[in-house]
Amino acid sequence: MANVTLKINGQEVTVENGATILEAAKQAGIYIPTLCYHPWLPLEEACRICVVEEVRGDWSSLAAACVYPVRTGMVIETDSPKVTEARRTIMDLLLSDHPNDCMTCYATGECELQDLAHLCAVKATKYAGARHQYEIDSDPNPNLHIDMNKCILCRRCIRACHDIQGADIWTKVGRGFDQRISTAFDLPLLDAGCEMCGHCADFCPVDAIGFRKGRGEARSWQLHRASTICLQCPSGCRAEYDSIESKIVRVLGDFRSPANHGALCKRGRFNFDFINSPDRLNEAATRNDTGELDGSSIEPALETAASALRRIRDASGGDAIAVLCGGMLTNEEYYLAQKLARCALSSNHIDNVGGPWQQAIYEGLDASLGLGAMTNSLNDIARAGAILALGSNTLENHAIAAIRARKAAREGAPLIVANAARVLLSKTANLYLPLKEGGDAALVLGLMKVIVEEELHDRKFLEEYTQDLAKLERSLQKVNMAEIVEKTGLSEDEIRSAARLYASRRPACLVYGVDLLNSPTSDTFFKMCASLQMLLGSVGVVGGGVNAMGAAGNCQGAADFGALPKYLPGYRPVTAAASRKLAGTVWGAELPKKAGMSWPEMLGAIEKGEIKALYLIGIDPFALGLSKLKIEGLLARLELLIVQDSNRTKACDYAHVVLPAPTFVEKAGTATNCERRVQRLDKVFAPPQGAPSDFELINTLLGFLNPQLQVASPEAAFAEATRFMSELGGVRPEQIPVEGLQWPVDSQGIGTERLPLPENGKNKFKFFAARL
Amino acid sequence: MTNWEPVLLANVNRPNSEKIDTYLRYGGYEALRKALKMTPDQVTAEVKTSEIRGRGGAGFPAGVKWGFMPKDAPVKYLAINTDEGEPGTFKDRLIVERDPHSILEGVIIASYAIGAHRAFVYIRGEFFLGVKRWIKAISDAYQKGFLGKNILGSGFDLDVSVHRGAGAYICGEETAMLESLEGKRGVPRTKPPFPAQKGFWGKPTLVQNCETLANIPHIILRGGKWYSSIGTEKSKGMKIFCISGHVNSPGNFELPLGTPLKEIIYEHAGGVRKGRDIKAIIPGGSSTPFLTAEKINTPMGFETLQAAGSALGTGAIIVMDETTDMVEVVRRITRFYVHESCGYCFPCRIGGQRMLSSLERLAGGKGSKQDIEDLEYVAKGIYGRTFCPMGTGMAEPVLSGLRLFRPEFEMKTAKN
Ligand SMILES: Cc1cc2nc3c(=O)[nH]c(=O)nc-3n(C[C@H](O)[C@H](O)[C@H](O)COP(=O)(O)O)c2cc1C
Ligand code: SF4
Ligand code: SF4
Ligand code: SF4
Ligand code: SF4
Ligand code: FES
Repeated sequence: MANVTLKINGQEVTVENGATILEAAKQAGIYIPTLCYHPWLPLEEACRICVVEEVRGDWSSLAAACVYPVRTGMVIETDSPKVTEARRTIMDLLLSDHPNDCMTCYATGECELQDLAHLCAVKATKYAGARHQYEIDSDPNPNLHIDMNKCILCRRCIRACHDIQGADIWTKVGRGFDQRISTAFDLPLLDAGCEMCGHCADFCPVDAIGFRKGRGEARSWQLHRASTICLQCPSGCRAEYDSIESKIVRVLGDFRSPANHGALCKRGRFNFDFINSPDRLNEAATRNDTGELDGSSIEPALETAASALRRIRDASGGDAIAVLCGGMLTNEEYYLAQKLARCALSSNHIDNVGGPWQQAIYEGLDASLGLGAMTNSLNDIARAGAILALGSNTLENHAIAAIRARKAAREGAPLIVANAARVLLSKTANLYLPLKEGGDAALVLGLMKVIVEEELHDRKFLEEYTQDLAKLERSLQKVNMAEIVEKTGLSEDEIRSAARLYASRRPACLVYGVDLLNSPTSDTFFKMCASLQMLLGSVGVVGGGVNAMGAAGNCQGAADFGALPKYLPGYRPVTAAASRKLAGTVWGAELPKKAGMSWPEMLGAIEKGEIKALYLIGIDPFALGLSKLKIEGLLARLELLIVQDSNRTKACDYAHVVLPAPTFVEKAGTATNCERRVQRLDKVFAPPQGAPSDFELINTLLGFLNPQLQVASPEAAFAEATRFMSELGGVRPEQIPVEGLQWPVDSQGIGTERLPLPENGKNKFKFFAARL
Repeated sequence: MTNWEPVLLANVNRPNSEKIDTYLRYGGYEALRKALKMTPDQVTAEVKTSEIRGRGGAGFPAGVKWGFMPKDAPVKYLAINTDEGEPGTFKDRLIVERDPHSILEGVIIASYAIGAHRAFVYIRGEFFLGVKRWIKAISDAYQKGFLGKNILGSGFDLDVSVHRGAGAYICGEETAMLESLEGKRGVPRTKPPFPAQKGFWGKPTLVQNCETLANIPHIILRGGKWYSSIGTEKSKGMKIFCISGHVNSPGNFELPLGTPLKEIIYEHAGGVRKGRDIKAIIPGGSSTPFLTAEKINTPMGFETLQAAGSALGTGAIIVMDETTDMVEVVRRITRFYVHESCGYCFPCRIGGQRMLSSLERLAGGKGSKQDIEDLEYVAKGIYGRTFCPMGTGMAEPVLSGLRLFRPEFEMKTAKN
């Protein structure tokens, strides 16, 4: 792009053509105040606080810097009397219809209006005349506090709700002086369809839409702010946590990670009570001879756990022990947990809550495409040509993917949602398919069958970049449409029109969120997902891909770092001699040769009495979607149950050893989101009473079992893990920038935003035979 | 008094003037036939030669605007502004109701010149008869082959439809009109991009006032040179002046641009009621600054009125005699703009209300010196600083009222 040179306050500035005056000034280090402008929202040009003087010889005019494009030879003054005067008037006017209640206002100290009034040295005015009077706290929802008396009508809330969330809840009502922000028909937020993402509150510059929590409790300057990664779902959003005395008060989006670019979901935003909860475990415990849990300090409890584990290992062999991790551990903790299981306990029965699906995603996509994880990036979904959302209730469980899909849909991408339930995302969908539970695989086959039959596929792409198409085509001929209709619960017509719609615009983007209850755990399914995308020429391209997302927080990291029964870190099969040899070199230990059990298999083995000891790390077995009775029965059968968790769960009632652990906001380390983005976690605050992290707990346990296996620090664990993981290109955790790094990382430390197309006819994408 | 042969209003007083047969009988659609034989560029060139400037208020040279329409864009639109909301203005209504085909012919020629195949009429919702006339004119034009596919065998296609506003002055502003046409809330858009770059549904769109368009057939038939021979140096052609207020015969008068105010008021509009003196004149619709009686010899042209401290605007002249309470006039005008403020931008939204509060106090005899100061401060604060020109239009009458009639404002505070 051509450059443009202009003068701002006498200073020459050269910027790209198309830049605004505001951007040019920013580049030159010149501050122009703004109010309605927000770098992450579409422009509005409402407040006109940002006006600057454009001088043209002996006359000049005022232009809004936030929208006005630069021109060569432009002469701009940002602080002339004309400008200052204009700014002051606007501030005067704004304050003339404002409560000016700063001394008791929640926003005080972080309010942009207050800051600007200070900057312009404008006091609340004397204007007599109409003032708005709205009800304070006018909406009954649980999370947001609404006080439209303080609204300045910058309409950031409308833009955030529209552009980021795609929910379109807020709107302007009335015109002129009586304009106000409200919902359709003035309905209460939740009745109007609000999704409680909290973006509107995050973007509101004043206290018109604010957070409820912390109100009357804390003043902005008393809050401690720290940024880390949310581990409540696989999107891995970067968020800022405001806390007071180690209590989270609110969570704000952090714009620095491209994973979320400042967006958060309802859970990440508001589900933090468990961190502040009185149900936090704050003491270790061991079960005494009479069967009661006795409080204990941590070391002795760990020692008890270690000797019990040793006893069972020595008596019944490592196969009698299983380790199961939750979704909110760090990569280093998963790494250490699998090291403990494999080396210290001689057991490959190590898994994580999302393991079975993660393993299937890896195997299916690696075999088809050579990259065993989500092919594209969350950001890419917004650039899709057409979207098929399958699997989870996307807006609930994989919200960032869902809002990006809605963004693409707003730009014209047809959105197809196939789900057994009429999930929220279907509201925005062009086509909703009421899919039978468990019908995902059949639907994908059906779509492929139609695409091939009706020749909707991309011949040129297939020829250039894929191999073994014939295998798929032959097998598809054998697939019976009647059976697909049966398994999907959809009519043939529905499947055909879905295929046509999905193929109508490229790139096609498949969004697959794992659903703990219904998602297939077979690699074939993900091979078929890859095939579908290949047929449409939509793999290896911007806005396309197989965007498979795991079941829980950091289960991508869990899989990458070896918390899987079949794989060592870096997806090295434990059954392969070469892998075990490498393990021997790095760990100095001999590993069991057989692959371990996935967690559903573990549960079966407990039932049969084959597994006698279970070490639960950050996972509540009662939250696995199985019947309570069944879990109770299983836990009661165990000879040894170690429960390590941040919060008291029902499993503690069955535990022999209980170990308190911090929550994810109290830990440091790394985590990997569904788009392969490795990001750094930092402690928002120290855990209660300086309690040890999961990493330290496992490490101490290792110390009791075999001190040689201990790892000095999470950094050292990461470094050790990279010896298995070529994907990480030898990067050190401190080298990971704040925006994260997406594996595979090359030797220069450059990550991979999306799977590239095969080059020079090598490593072509591969088709496999379809199976129902 | 010079009596000019009417051009734009030649038909309006004929019986059944709105009918297509009447229009055809007096040479209607001949210009279209002629234009379709020219190249689009030749048509645009003729309009440029005529030097006609927009009649919707802003006075932008029409030919230049046509030239801004990108040649290579596959889809372009024409939008016809019949929103006519500026107080004092009632010329578009007359043409639409009495001679709709004269505009429609201009619409077809303009569409041909810029390469638009779809044109939208946006008409003020209260113009019930106008809406009917537009619709009838369009359907008759389809019948006769002036609209639709392959117009008059030329290969040129054009469809036109009519869309009603819902009672908002701001929807006359061209970008707010486009928003409204798209079915959205009528608020202006950020400029640039201008409609010629990104207009209706994001496509290049020419927005033109209907009086402007009604001139086009005459320019094509008689030539741009003929047109530019009428008027003053920078104001060419015939113009419909709407006169209202304290004159003996208010109404629409078509005269060449540059006709002195005095002639229009005293010779065409029958002079001031009861032979009184003039106190103030609004020359171009209520958003143009007041003139005092001293400026009565000003020719009604863009540049001449500007030199006199006002503007031609829509050419709507409002005459106020010596008995007029100017504070009340300013209050009444301001009330209109405050009521019509769309509320998009801060200065207009709040500033308007603040001005009105002060004016209400002053007009009601309860005002103070502070109110006058506030009024001036806010009006200056709004002027030239709003998102769209309406805010400035709202400040104009206040500022010029204070400039020219300050003692009247001060008198109102005498008691307090
Ligand atoms: C607040 C506001 C109201 C306007 N209302 C009208 C109107 O009612 N009719 C009109 O033709 N132009 C109106 N305009 C001018 C239009 O924005 C635009 O300049 C005009 O339609 C262009 O046509 P023209 O060049 O033929 O005059 C208005 C402008 C503003 C700022
Ligand atoms: S919103 Fe801001 S300016 Fe308004 S009362 Fe609160 S702190 Fe003060
Ligand atoms: S509620 Fe907040 S974000 Fe929305 S318009 Fe008002 S001040 Fe702006
Ligand atoms: S919480 Fe989210 S969905 Fe609800 S109104 Fe605010 S931005 Fe919109
Ligand atoms: S000046 Fe601002 S508030 Fe007034 S009408 Fe224009 S955009 Fe709307
Ligand atoms: S910041 Fe530019 S108009 Fe509000």
